[in-house]
Amino acid sequence: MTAAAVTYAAGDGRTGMFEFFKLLNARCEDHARLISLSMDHSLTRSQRLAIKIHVLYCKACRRFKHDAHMMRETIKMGCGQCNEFPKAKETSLSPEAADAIAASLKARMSDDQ
Amino acid sequence: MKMKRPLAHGKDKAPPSALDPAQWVQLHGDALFGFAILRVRDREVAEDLVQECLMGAYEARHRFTGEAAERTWLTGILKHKIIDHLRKQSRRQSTETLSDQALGEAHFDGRGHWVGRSSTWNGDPKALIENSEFQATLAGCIAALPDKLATTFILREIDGVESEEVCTILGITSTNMWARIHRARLSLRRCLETKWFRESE
Repeated sequence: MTAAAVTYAAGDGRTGMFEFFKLLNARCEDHARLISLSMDHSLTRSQRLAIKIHVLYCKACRRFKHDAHMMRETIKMGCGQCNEFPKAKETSLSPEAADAIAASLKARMSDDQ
Repeated sequence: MKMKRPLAHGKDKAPPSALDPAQWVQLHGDALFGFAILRVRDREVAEDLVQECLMGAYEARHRFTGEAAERTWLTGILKHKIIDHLRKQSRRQSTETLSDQALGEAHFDGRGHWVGRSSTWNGDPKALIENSEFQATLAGCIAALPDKLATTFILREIDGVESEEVCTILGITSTNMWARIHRARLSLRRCLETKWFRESE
């Protein structure tokens, strides 16, 4: 685990047994942060163990863990519409911009002819 | 960079069959614009990027192999233009500190407990993503994220850019990136919960 991750996860940079016991008493907010971190970075053994124990009795964190992984998996399947700005908002080139771009392309193309 | 670069390969293949630059704006303009504005969050910049993309694509037209669809090929070029833009932008901005962590809605109370009750998410990711109504809801929730969270989350989770690369592009520390992605997850989850999972129960 990198130094940055230790600071982000534990706050005081301590690891090992001390960290483990501290994490047993940690708040859901901290566990949620660790759960998220675990999806991008490896955790220490005590962090992994602490999360495992915490989610055994904490339904809310168990759900967060499940949902976060499910969200990632779902997005990975390829969300075509996520690549379009939702219809209700600005979704198309303004007519002026479209004309301007078409004009520059046309000009460039006519250079070649 | 770990992303596929559509420009880089296949020069020796047969000449492109289907490029039609004169039709690009009409056929792909809005889709490319949508792709860009979702990531840069600024109409003018997005329009400029579409222009840069199409002009660049025209210059590179002989490198189109016909392996991918025209739209896909153009989108690949646009992706690189967007990343270049984000990179330049991050150089102009002063380096951020953790303070932008403080923004955003509350998911925890003062004692660090979850706020609000969550409904149970069930279902199969594949079935979900094949549902176009769900995709629209998800897209809406991503678009509704605060700018910085959206840009970071999209680069990492949708465009699949490696963590270190995301940090370089955006000029942020890894700590900052994790914090943003975590907050994006919390927000997206709450959004999907209200707009999808609760209603479909």
